[in-house]
Amino acid sequence: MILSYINIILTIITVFLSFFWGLKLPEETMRKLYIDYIYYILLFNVIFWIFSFIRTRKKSFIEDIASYWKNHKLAVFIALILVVLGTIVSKPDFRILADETNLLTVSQALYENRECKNYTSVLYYYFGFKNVIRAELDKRPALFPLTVSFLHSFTGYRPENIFITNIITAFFTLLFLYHLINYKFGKFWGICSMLLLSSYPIFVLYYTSGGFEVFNLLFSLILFWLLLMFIKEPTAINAEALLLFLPLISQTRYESVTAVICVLPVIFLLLTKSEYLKFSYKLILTPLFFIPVIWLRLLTFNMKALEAEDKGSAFSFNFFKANLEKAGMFFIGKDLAFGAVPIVTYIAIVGIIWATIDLMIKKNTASEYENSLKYSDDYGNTDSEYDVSRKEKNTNDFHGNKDIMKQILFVVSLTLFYIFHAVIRFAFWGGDFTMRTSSRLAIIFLPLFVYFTIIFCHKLCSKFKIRESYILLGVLTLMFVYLPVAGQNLGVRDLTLYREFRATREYLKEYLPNKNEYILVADRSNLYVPLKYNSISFDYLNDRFNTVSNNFYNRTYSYLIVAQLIKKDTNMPIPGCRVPKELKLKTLYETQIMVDQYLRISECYFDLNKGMNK
Amino acid sequence: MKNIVIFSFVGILAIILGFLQFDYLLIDLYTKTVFYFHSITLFFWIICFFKVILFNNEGKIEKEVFYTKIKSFFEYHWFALILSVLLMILGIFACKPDFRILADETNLVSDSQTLYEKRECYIVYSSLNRNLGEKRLIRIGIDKRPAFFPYFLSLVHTVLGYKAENVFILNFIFGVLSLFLIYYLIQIYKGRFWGICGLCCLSAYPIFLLYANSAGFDLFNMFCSLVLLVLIYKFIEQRKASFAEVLLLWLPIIGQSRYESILSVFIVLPLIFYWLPKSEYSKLTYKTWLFPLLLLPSAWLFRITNDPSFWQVDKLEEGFGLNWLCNNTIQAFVFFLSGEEAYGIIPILSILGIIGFIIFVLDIFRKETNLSFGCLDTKSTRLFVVAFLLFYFLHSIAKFSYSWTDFTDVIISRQSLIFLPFIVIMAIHFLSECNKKYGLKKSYCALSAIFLVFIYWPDAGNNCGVKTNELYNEFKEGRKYLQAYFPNKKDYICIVERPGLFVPLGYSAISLNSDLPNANNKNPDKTKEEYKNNNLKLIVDFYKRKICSYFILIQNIDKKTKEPLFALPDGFKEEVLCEYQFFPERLLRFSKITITD
Repeated sequence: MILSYINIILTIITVFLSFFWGLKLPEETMRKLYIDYIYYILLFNVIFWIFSFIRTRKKSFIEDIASYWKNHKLAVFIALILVVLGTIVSKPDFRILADETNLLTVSQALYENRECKNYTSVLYYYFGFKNVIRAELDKRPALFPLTVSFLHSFTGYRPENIFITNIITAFFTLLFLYHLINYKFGKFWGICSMLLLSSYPIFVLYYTSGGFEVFNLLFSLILFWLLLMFIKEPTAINAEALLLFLPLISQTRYESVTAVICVLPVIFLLLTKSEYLKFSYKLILTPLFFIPVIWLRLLTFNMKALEAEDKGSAFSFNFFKANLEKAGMFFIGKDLAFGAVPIVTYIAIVGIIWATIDLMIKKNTASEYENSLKYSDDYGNTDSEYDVSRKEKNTNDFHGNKDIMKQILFVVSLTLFYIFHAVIRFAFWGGDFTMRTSSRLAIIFLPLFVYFTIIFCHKLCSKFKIRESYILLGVLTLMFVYLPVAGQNLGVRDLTLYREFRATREYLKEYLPNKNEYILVADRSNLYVPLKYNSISFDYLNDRFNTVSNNFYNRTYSYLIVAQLIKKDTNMPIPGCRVPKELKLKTLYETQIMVDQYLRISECYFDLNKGMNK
Repeated sequence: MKNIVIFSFVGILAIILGFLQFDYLLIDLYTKTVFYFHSITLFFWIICFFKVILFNNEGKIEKEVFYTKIKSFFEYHWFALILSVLLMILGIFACKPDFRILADETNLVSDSQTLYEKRECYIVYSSLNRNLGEKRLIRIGIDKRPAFFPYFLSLVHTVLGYKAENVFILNFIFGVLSLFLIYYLIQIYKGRFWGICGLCCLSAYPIFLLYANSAGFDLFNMFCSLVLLVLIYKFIEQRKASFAEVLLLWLPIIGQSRYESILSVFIVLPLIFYWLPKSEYSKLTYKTWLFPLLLLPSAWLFRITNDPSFWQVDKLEEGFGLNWLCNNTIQAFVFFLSGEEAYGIIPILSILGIIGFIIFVLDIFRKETNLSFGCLDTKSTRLFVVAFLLFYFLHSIAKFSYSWTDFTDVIISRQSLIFLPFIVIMAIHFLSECNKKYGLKKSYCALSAIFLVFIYWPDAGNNCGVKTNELYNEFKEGRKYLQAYFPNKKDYICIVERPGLFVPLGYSAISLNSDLPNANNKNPDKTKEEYKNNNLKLIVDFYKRKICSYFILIQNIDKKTKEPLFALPDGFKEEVLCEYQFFPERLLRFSKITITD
């Protein structure tokens, strides 16, 4: 008992300490600590969360897996087939630049040096050494790069691991969505929800890319699931798993830290006093895991990171209004390239209205849930142990009349979650979903549309006795209609940087595969660093020409490759792509990137270098 | 009684033949017969092994019992087997197989090549390949390294055809078996769960992964030591002549796995004499009598290498001594407890291992202890523990008494591999005691073992332990260049400073500035100049007879002076192809040499 009180007191102390250490340390100290220790902090957070999660399981690991497999193997197969299909349809590639390559570089730094840095110019030499010319703290939260670095641990560093991580993430995203829907409506509807989500081209496009939006979506769904488990059974064990998850989700995307505001009140409202004394020592550590979240915000919340001149041009109510309107246009699919599924949007709207009407006239009785769902455990397993007598005893059955308040709490929490996400995204200048580079921000909202669509279809089937197989057919048809949008890369192929990067990469891969032999000079050198090119910027080349030249006189490299954007009318490189006059370039390749610009790849051998004859 | 008399007689004969005879024939005798000795040893050991698992107590084969035994073995241990294979496969991706410690690894491959091609064991330092598989050997020498690993490798060549890369396949197999054996040892006294944890912990070591994907014999030595420990356990458990023979016949194998491992004889022989009941002596077969003779290669190698030049010291007395023991032991502690990436060690496991060892020793030697291994009673358990501890103690003394055994030197750190199972076993002992006494959750231990893999494998993947080595970089750069631009090895002869590195990879390689031959050279009367002139004549002859079309000269030169290693004689035309900096202040220059007249 005394230990429990000590536990709580220490937790309160660490809350204050977290605020203090989070806010009051000098900037340089914060930066150094974040860069050097975020790997270990996140790692321990993950480990402790897993330990907490294991405590919530009532069965042993083997029994849990066996029971899960017995009840949900069809869902697992379907999720697997869907991600494989999506991967075949939409070839994994880097699309949103330089976000995706920056994330990959951070994973490389975490893997190689256990530091959280974004290398923007690097020279690799000998076998395994590198000279980091320029590096900076990346503004993006570090959990996704850390996860990719775990995969690097098993396979060695490979750029493709970022795609594999996203594909695995998509698989679990589909499964978690299935479970959330299954919990309320049953397995059939759970499977429909997976198919519906997979029919969104934007979902397919971004889980076959190198970004972290799908990863963020997965963590959001896990949060909902943990919240559901806690609300169903408000114990200290479940609360601990939820609390330790909050720092993790805060490290998936910038806005996700708002989950704390949505979840903490629920815990305070539902947890009884006696349960507070049952927390373990991990509660003490939980506030400390938020310190890096605070540091990252303080270090990177500046106008440069927000790509704005001042706060007013970064966030405003005007942006909110305009972006909300654009979001509407996005979801109704005005342009196929947006990657939305308009019919789902329309059905979801009807679904919201129908559900609201039902709620208002209080037709939402327990009997309705009885028809759709038999009594289940956390995964919606309908093992025989969960029998009718459990409902009759009126135990923690979430769907009984006595638990309407808990249900409302869950809905309010989720609503707040989405409101916060919507406000932050739409109030930001870059929250225009119709922009190609910002449409991925809509991914977090897709489960909402899927959910309300399922509500509509479910009500349709139960009220009007429509066969469920028609719904399944409809969903499959949607998939076939919309997947080609992802396959054609419609949402991305007109991005200039994407075209430039892809053209350069493909040329180098085919004609200059020996990366160790040359230094690549590019306007955005950071794009090539994670692909293990010796990559420097034009600025560096011009400022430190002698240093660069010495690399060739020392025979560390044999020649220079320059990738420039050239203006078509003047035939001159654009500003920022110019080389020193001493360099004599020989053109190897040219290709059009934009209407008025083309990409030129040239080589240059230095005088004292005895280059190979090819 | 008869068996003891015959054994003693053969033993004395072996001592005479091993240490007192054949002074002038020693090198030839060793190189020409070691293949056959090893074959006989392996053959007998396999017979004894199958006898133990196939035959019942009455000495009859019961096939059904055998199949049942095999089936229940796999049913019980399938998870560990699959996990071992899976971890080693993942390890190949995490840490690409490569030659790392040079020239040890290429010398071992060269030994295996000669064992495969000629059934003789020597290193080919330079040779020229003629057409259709013929070779002209220029310079050969005896390898100071024991030959069982190259022998096993030659067996792989027999099945797959000669390829230098076969050594990675062999080490992969030993890696899988080593992981399984550490699991097996731990599960005997702690159960399968802790065995799996131990397996994960061993595989998490970057140094294990690095050298499981290299071409050295340190992993093989670790494997042999684990087999020995399992055989000791089985012998103590069974107390039968058949088990004694399996154990006895493993000694020539482990004795020829690494230099120090022959000391295992001083553990096994007294153990057998002490523990084997008198009634079992009559059941010992002729293989027991032959055992001393199977140790002859070890004795001969010991005599051959009883020369300072083999050990890179000026005098043997200076290279070996108890004065080194203290220094190197301290360095070993620094090595195991340091978080230095280049060492490839997991310090937390070392700390847990030390605590576990203290607890273990206190436990086992308490009067009222109830510690028991598997089916062994307390006395047997203590006997096993004594053998176990003595094994590591003798290895420590032998290793640390040598001046070069400083584990903090990254070239030497691979020798620490043999101690990893000891650390893991002690660490698991500690964790399991914490679980029993203080309720430490097993799931936490299992998860932590998995996370160790995540955290530490990148150190192996980044080659942290090896990439600072000049010879490694030089060899890799040379190989990479030749593979990319001159893939057709038949067309040319490589003129390099250390041709022994390239010969096992199938290159014709020769040097024009050999060091003076050392004691292991078979022709000590040739001088450096004579070697150079002879070699020049040979390559000119090859060129004129169109056996090769040109020469590739690879020189490691100083970046500042750019002075070539030697001057080419008249009539040789050099075209410098390129130069690469492969190390600070060093360039590797590739030139194409043709003969003008």
